[in-house]
Amino acid sequence: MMRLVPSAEELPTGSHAIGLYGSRTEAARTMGSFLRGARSRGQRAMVLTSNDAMLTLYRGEVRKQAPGLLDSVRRIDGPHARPTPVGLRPIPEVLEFARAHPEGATMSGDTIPTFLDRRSLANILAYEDWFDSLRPFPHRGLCPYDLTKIPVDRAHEALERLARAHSHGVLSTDPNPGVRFLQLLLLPHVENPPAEHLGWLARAVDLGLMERDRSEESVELTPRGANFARGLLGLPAFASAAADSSRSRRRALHGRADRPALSRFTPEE
Amino acid sequence: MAGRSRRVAGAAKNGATAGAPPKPERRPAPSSPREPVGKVDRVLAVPLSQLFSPDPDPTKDFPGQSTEVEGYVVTPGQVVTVALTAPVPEGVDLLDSIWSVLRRKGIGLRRMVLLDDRGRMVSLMTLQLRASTETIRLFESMLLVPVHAGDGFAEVHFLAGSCEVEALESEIHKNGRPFPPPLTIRLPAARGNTGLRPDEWAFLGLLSALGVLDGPDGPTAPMVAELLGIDTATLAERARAVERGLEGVVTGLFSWPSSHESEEGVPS
Repeated sequence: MMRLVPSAEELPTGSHAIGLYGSRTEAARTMGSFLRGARSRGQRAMVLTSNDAMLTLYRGEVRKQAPGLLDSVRRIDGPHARPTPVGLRPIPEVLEFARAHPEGATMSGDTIPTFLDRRSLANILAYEDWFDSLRPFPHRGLCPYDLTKIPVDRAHEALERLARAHSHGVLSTDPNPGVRFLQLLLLPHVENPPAEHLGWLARAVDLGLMERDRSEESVELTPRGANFARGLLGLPAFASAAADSSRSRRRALHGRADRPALSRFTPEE
Repeated sequence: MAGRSRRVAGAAKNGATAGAPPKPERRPAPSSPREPVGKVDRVLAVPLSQLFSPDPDPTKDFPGQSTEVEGYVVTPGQVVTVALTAPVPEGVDLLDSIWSVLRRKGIGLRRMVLLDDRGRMVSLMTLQLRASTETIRLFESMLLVPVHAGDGFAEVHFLAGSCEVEALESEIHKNGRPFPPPLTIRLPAARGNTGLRPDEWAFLGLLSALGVLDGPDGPTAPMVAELLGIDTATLAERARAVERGLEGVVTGLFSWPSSHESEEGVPS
């Protein structure tokens, strides 16, 4: 079972962790904390991103939290895990860095949320299973996941599999209640769930927003719970709580349209 | 004959069970702070035959197939816009047949179809209901979505006290269209509702079915308003009402300390 830690700094050597987030600034803070952990352990580090905005945010946090490791943050073109005949695998740069530091290195690639969608989800989860099969290793690995990008109807499956494929996890503290709500789906698969979160989960079940499966080993969203999550993530009042959400979900229900209507609808008489 | 949208191959779960009325499994739950004590989720297995009468019930032509009424909105003049969904490709013919019957009966006014990215067809139907305003208001105040329908039955959830169910039956009889007695009533066996009223859940379900909440690629506000037959100001007003209701749910969910959980679960 996955073990939660309060911050990415505390992720131990040998860990393969997920870092859940709901905004870019939270993702950057988590990465800064992760590198602070590298510094305290004397490990070399590598952080790869394909996003210029995240590069800037990461460097800002690393300057604050782990000065001296600024050069660890690098921009790459495209994903840090790419298709091969046997599934997604890390790019050669990642594998070479790991091999070059047999004493252990701190590594993270943040590109998965950029490319995560309904079509890629299965391949990404398979990739995580494969990566976890490489343990035990002396490294520290962090896999950031944007909770606002996981398809709501696949959230319980995705989070359960992510929990099973990682040794450790860092929960999001994003103010959007939709983010807090969705990550409750992780709790049955966590070794040390926080008591407060367990209380929220129990309440969510009582309110009919989630339901336990017959084995009581996992929870799923009910149809109403799924719409509740979509409302929290998709309606302006809540989306604005995370103003720098990595995926803009604000719907123009309150204002003028600023883009052409899409032709996904077929009228019939 | 209703047109058919481009079919998209894909696996989809079929939740229908052939033959007997659906048997929901629920456990008792508290009522929410926003509803009077005594309202519970009552599940009725309602035969669909009289809904489509004198036409045969189209759901019986598709054994094992089902559709979900995911959301709806009622507008003046007893007009309701409802979103039905079914998996693609298995459920497409069922949705088409339902529309054909309703259109033939003069109830169906307009239909739009959408293929969403969850492997489903969304059939957005605008219907002219033959029911009084009072009857519709009763339904709006009690009917919980989604409604699962197939194989001749609809699993309908009403959030109601016993007096309200009697009032609904009385209202329907008064309108001269006897509602078939429900085959099965599951007494207080469900969750309590939350800070959203049933009609607000229905509107949220409608927005969800239309893909409005899924990100920036969904339909725009003017398009949604046109689809639902309302103006943008009304759309905005309803969306804000849903947001306020969701805030109530959030408050109840995250400010409810686990140490105060009781058998009834009613917050102090």
